[in-house]
Amino acid sequence: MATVEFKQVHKTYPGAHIVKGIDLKIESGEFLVLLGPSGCGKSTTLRMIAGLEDISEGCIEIDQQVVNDLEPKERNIAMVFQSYALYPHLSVYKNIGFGLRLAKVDKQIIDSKVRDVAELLELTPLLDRKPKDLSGGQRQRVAMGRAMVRTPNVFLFDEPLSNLDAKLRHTMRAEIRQLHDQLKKTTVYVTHDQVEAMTLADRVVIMHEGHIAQIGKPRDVFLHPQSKFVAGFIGSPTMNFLKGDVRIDDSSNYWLNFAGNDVQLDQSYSGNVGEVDLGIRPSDIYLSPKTCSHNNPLHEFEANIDSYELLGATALIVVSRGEQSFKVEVSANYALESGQAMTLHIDLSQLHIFDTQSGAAVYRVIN
Amino acid sequence: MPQDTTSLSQGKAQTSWFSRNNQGGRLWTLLLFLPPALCLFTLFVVVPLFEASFFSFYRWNGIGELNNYLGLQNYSKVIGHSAFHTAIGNTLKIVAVSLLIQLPLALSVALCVYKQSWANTVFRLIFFLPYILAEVVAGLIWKFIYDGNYGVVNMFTEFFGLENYFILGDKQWAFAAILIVIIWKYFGFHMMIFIAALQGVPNDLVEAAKIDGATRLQTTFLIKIPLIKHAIILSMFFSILGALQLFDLIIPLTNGGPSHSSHSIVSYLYTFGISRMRIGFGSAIGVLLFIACVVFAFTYQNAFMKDKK
Repeated sequence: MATVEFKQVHKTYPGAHIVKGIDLKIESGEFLVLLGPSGCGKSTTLRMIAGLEDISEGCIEIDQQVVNDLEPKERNIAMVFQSYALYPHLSVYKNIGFGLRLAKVDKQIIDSKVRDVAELLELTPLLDRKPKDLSGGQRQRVAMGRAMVRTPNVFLFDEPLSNLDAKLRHTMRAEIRQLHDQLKKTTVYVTHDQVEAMTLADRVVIMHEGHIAQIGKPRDVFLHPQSKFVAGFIGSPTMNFLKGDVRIDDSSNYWLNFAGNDVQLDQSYSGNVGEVDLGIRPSDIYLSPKTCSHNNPLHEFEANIDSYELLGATALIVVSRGEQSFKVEVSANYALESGQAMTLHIDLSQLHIFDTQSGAAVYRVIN
Repeated sequence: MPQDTTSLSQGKAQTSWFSRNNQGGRLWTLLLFLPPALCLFTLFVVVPLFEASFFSFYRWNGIGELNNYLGLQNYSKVIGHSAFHTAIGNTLKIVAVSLLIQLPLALSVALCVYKQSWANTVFRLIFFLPYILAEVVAGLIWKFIYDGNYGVVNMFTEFFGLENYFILGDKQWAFAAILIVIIWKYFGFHMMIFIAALQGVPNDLVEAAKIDGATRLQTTFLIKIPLIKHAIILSMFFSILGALQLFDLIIPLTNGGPSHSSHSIVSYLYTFGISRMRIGFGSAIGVLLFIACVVFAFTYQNAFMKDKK
């Protein structure tokens, strides 16, 4: 078990600043997910922990030891690659035991460790096969076995499930979490899939253009995004963004005007007067007040359905009111069709307000 | 009714034979594109081959009628000829040097310059340059280098105050000098094959090995080289076949001399068959060489180059 700490870590390539001063402490035994869109620097961050990329500035400590100048093998880490990176000319047995063989571990010990790991990952019948004779899920498990057999201090996963089909991804996700709960090893997991992040992580780090946009538990990140970027990135279907205006009255009360209505804001509003960005998730807009399960204040408005998309248990409708259009997630039970006019209800307790300039969250009713 | 069924099934069988063989117009492609290639191959390879086999049973100077039937005498002469033994010995030396020096050298250089960079591109070009040169030109360049009076070797002997040394005239060392030229001339070709193969090795595997604790040397020997095995096998094939067919470097360098000590099989054929107008004798050598090449190619392909599915 080990902690991993980033202290003002930068990564620059000629002409590109990829990671821009990250400060982060990963606790021992924690499952931390680095989440972000392509090119946000999450994989580079992971590769810096692994020692596959040099650190341009700052330092990374594993168990309070600075590892900047240590070779990957000296860091006691193991990594699972997106492509699995199995050695195609070696059998599953030799793939798993490769690291131990290099470390000149006794053959009998290698054998028992490889077999133990194979047993745990249900790979025993496949030990003599070559990687090309395995399915995607089996290859993934071999890659995990190769990482586990060396009993490293830190596990690193670089988008390990992206090459699998949806069903298998779901199964493997559960397996990875189960293994983590069993082994309790510090794990850093990179993904661009927010479902993976939400289901696996103890804490999620959302990265954006080389910075950390937010760190928090999955639920916190979803319910209390600290910026418009995080709010827009987390959640599927994505959050609706509307324009609104905030003014202050003579009694120092803040009023929000949007879609032609005034709503009073409570004292938690920390923004300025003037134009603001509003965020509301598609699942926080209801067709009728009855479908809202809690007794929150609702904001009612008329709108027309532009399009209807059935997703399965739910359906996504796009509605418009004036020039503004937004998505609403409703139960698939409703028989709706395009062009229909209807009354919608916004759960105001779920309303997010962001500063138009900085994108920072300035208002959120805390539940 | 039963009659109808039979004729129907026959019709079906006929249709299915054609359609089975003509999937995606395969049969048409075959009928359209095969004959020209087949004609050329027959005209320039198969016919001369049969002619050569035929000539090899005669004493014939290439002009006039074939009327001096010798049976297998040409073959027995070739097999008993000491210069032919030397030529075979030399060919084996070329094979040995190719496999033991040239390919390892090409592989080492390829490992140094296979990554994409400006400097590596320059080095690759420099190492590949000898291969682009015509063999005769390369031979003439090296003849000058080896020249005891005016060549580069002469500069060294003068510098060290030694007597002028004509390595190409030294029966003991002439072929060694040719071997150096062969390595210089062809290692760039093999280097390119290895570079292409090494560039196909996924970087993830090298990184995975690094994390598994492999040193650079271990990564090279345990990951990279096993993964480019197919390219090494191909290079070995080209080397051996090239050794069997080597000709145009020998002629400008030594012309097989001194005392026929530096002949390859083909230069031996040329000198003793063509130059001396003994077409029958030359044909016998050609037939033997052809058999050697075919046997080697088939054996090698069966042993190493079969697609393992």
